[in-house]
Formats: sequence, structure tokens, C-alpha cells
Amino acid sequence: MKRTTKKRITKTFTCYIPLAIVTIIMLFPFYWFLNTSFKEQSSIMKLPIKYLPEPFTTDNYASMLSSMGFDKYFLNSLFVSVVTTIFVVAIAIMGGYAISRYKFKGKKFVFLLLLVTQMLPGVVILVPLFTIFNNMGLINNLWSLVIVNTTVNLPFCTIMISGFFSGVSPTLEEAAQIDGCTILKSVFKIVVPTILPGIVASGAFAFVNTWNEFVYSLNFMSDSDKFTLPVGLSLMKGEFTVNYGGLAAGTVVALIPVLLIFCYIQKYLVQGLASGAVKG
Amino acid sequence: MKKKKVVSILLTSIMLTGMLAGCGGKSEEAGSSGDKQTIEFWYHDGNANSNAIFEELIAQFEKENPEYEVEYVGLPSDSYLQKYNTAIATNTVPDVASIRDQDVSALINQGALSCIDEDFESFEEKEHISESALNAIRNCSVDGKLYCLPQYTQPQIFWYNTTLMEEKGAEIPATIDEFMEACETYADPDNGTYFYSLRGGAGSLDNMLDFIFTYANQDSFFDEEGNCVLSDPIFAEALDTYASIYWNGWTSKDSVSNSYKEMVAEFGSGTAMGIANNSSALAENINNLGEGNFTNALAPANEEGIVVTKDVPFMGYTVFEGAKNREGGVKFLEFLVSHDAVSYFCEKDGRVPVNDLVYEDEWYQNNAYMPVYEEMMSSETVKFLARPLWLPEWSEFLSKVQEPGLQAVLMKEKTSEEVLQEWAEYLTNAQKEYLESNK
Repeated sequence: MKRTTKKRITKTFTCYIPLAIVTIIMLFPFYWFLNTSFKEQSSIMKLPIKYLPEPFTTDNYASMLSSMGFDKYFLNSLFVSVVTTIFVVAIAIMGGYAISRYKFKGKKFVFLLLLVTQMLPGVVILVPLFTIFNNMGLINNLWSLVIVNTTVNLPFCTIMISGFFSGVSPTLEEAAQIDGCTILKSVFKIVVPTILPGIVASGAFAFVNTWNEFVYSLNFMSDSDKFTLPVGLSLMKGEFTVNYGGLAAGTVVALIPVLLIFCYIQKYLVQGLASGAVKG
Repeated sequence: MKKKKVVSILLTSIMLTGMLAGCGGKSEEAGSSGDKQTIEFWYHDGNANSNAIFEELIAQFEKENPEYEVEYVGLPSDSYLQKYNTAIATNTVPDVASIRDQDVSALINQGALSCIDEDFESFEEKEHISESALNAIRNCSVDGKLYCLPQYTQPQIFWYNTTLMEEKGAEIPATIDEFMEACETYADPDNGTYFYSLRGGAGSLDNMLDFIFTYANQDSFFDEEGNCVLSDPIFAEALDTYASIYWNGWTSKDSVSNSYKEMVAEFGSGTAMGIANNSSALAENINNLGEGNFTNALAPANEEGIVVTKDVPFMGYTVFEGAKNREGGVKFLEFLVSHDAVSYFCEKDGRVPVNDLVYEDEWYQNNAYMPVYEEMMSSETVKFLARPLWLPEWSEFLSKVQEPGLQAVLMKEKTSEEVLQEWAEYLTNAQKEYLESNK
């Protein structure tokens, strides 16, 4: 056997086949709920299992929008997630820069404090947060979700971005400042573009966390029109009935923005996570 | 450059839409909306069907009572209690809310529910609401008072796939012996089909209790001294018999973690010919199997011909202690348990009504499934087992003690004797503590 053929066979068995198996295992649930979302309710449970939706129907999508108000849930989730991501990224860039570049009293303590916040389960601060927002008149208001999600995601994103800033030599900014840049300009024109993959990775982290957040959305909203997608999806599972078709259709809709975002930022994400992984 | 502009416009529109949506909160004070008084109402199982039912019922109520406006919120059934607890802790409870029987005691003990005994006395249809359902509610509190009112009950019964049984020549088992024989005869693990789908996961208690108490022919958890009877050897024999369905492969391997949804899916897909569940599985069975392909029947009896089943499980409505509009809340509560509302709800949602005026309604008399429940309520061979809903530890017992215990028996990690002993000790301690604190 030729050496190249042998190499090819080895690569097929050690690389391509395992990758194909992993890909199939990962994609099968996606295929299954996509398939279920186009099935009629009565045929979802029928045996033998049908691997293609026969008869094909879009009723699940139609009823999801008409009777379950998914359009409202979708817009609410989109608003909360996008605004939260903007706030988190903007504040985390400034906080991350400060932690990375400046020496100040209690720096280690601040860093520790940021880490500690990540260890608190959300439910623990639910009641105090509810009381605060209630006094501020923010219950039943999507801004309460923006504020809480920004607060929850900010520490981790700040730590993450500070790692990326540390990877850029300060001499780069100094050179820009010698050439006449202000500090702010040198940060935003020189350093930020350099760490863009890291910023995108942090933004994606904040967006997905907010998009999937359930506990605060359920408890802070007492008006069905203000519910977000995760709460809307859980309404598909009744105590004694499960609308599998609607649930699958809702999941497809909920997944679309996340998929689109990840397709677009994939290249940044891999770079960002890889470079962030080696920073101290 | 163009791309940047598009992104900016998109983000600005989202921000503006959100600001409008987010800041568009109601400016009225809680409890009033112009000339109308607001009644805030939360329902614990806000799916598409129940939301549509309440839309209709609320419109009817508002038409009859133009001075009120009802704000309805349907909640996810698996996390509704968390929402209630947050509202209680922050004093932002609704006026009226639905509540499941197993959660009533804990909320009464928190002082969250308002006593409605006096209000109930003035209800026009008070004589028509099932006394046994009212007693089940009174059992939930130390003072024996009413803290909620029932709308429907969910009796525990067996569901059988008659089409499949006809094909296989199977008959509905009348006794436990016949049931075990059917489980053995019609189990076909090679093809993944069985006679019975055992429930070993969340909510496994009711099926198991009905089986072992019927087998042991006992209908009380505690003896006169407050000791739990589960440590009696007859229960170990009963639990061994029940678990043997799993040990012998007469039910699917997944049964050990089956909750309601998985069990009903096994029944709906034809994997199992029979399941034990409450009456509320009807809607799901119609969806999965279609009308005419299944029926309901009493659970298999013991050698004495007796069936022991859990006492009237109810779903009710309560007025919160912190209600901002208690008067309106009580008015709406009266409407929710009235003939019109109960009849409409039970017909559309496939529930068993507890207002006896409904029994005369045409839909009820033509309903194929109701005669079994009527037989159950009136038969002398059916005994009811009062679950200790009054114990504050009951919910914890279900999730943290009973469920893992049953799974340990099914997986042969513990013996039935060991597990029953643990359960008996837990419940005896809780009961004695309860009796002591209420002396």
C-alpha cells in the first residue's frame, strides 16, 4: 500500500469518521425539532417514527404567532438582549481597560469581587432586586431586565476583556499618544480594533446569556405582553398537555437570531476565545 | 459606510421600540382603572387552551359585573410556585390565583392565603360544591378552615388503548392479579411494546401509593398514635410486586425516570397499552390517539374487590391575604366556582367538575368518560386515601424522599423494606411534630 493511501485511510478513521459521528450526534436534536415543527400534532406521537414531516404543515408556526403571542415574546427578547449586550460591551471595555492598565489601591480586591459575583446563584438576589425595581416602578418594565442582565453579565465580560487588553502592549498606545492621540482616542482607535475578536466573544456571551434568561423574566414581568421567549416557550408545556409542535416551532424561532449571530461572528469568536485563553 | 448606517438604524429602532414597549407601563394605581376596579388574576397553567378559556370566562364576568376589569396572567405550570413565592415575599400578590392541592398547605403556613369561610357562606351556589372536595381543602389547614375553593377534581384512574387491546386480544384487568398477568403476557421488549407504562420519575407517588395501598387493603397513612403504617411488612410485599413490573422487563427501561409527559407519550405512541394517571390526561390522549381509541376505567382491585385511591385531588382558586382588591377578588372567586364557569372550563379543558349543577348539563351527560368518575365517587368498593397534605414537609417528601427512594428500589440499589422504613420514619416524625405543635 502506498504511503499516501495509508495516510489517507488513517486520517479518515482518526479524524473524519469521529468528526462525522460527533456532528451527527450534535445535529440530530436540531433536525428532530425542525422535523417536529412541521408535523401535524396528531402525527407527532405516532409509531412508526417518521423521519420526514408527512403530512407537511406550517400550522405550528401560525398558531404559535396567533394564539401564543410569540411575536411579542420575540421582540421583547430581542430588545432586552441587544440593549443588554450594548451596555455590557461598552461598560466592560472601560472597566476591562482600567483593570488591565491602571494600578490602584484595592485592585486585587476589585478583581476578586468581580469573580465572587459569578458564584452567586441568581435566585438568591431575586427578592431584593424585585423590591428595588418595584420601588423604582420598574416591575413589568423591560428595562428592569436590561439592568439586571447587564449587572449579571458585566463582571465576567469585564474580566474577559481585561485579559485581552493585557495582551496588547501599552507601547502601541504610547506611540499613538506621542503622535497626538488623546488617551480615549488611542484606546478606541488603536487598542479596541486590535482586541475586536475578544470584544465580540464577550458580546456573544452576554447576548446568549440574556436571550436564554428565565428566572428574572418570569418574576419581574406580570403582564403576558412583557414575557420573553424562554417564558413563552415554557408556556407550551402545560401541567397535563404538551404542545410538542408549537414547542418545536418556538424553539426554531428562538434559535434563529442566535444562529445568525454565531454564523456572522464565528471567525471573531474562535480568535477571541483562543487569544483570551492564554492571557493571565 | 453603508453597512454601518444600516446597523445604526437597526439598533436605534430596536432601542426606540423597546423604550416604548418597556416604558409603556400602566399608570393607574393598583386596584383601580378609571371608573373600573381591577382584579388581578394569575392562573398556574397558562397554556394556549386555558388562556382561550379564561379570555371567554373573563369577558362573561366583566359583562355581568361592569364595575370590574380582570387582568389575567397565565403562568408556566412548572415554575408558577416560584412566581407566587416571590410575590408573597415582596407583597405584590395578585388578588385571585389558582392553586394545586399539594401546594395549599405550604402557602397557608406562610400566612399567604386569606380565609374565605365567611365569604363562602354568602355564595349562592355553596350547596352545590362537592362536600368531599371542600373537606379535602379543610384538611390542608390546621384550623380546618377554607383557604381556597375547588373548581375541578382530578381522580386517579387507568387509561387503556382499546384499539391496541382489541388487536392483541387483551382485556381490561379487574384485579391486581389479572393486571400483573397482563403486564407479563403483553410485554414485548424486543419490539418495545408493553401492557403498562410505569411511572418512576417526577410525580410517581400517586400511581405507586394507589397500588400498594390497594394491595395492602389499607386506607390510612397513620395509625391512632400517629405512626406511619408504611413500615408494615405487607407494604414491602406490595412494593416488591409493583417494582417487579420493572425488574421483569414488563415495562420500558426508561420507566424509571418517566414523569407525566414521558408516560403519556409512551401511551400516546402505542408503546404501552395502559397507564395510570388522573383524569386530566384526557386532552393529551385525544391529541395522541384520537377519540374512540381509548377509554378510562377503575384501577385493578385487590383480592377483596377493594380499590384504594387518593382522596379527591382538587384544583382550586384562592384570594391572597395581601390582595389589593379583596372584595373584587371574592366576587371573581364566586364566579369561578359557579355553575357557568365550572361547566365551561371543564367541558373545554376535559376536567371533572365539582359543582353538582354541571351534572345536569348536556355535555356532561353525553361525555363518555364521566360515568367512571361518578361510579368512583359513589361505589362502596372504592376507598379514599387521605394524603397528609396538612404536613408542611409533604412537598419535600415527594421530591426529595419518595421519588429517589422508589428509583432506588427499581434500580435494586435498596430493598423495598429499607425504603419503606425510611419513608415511614420521615412521615411519622413529621406527623408527630405536627400533632405536637397543634396540641
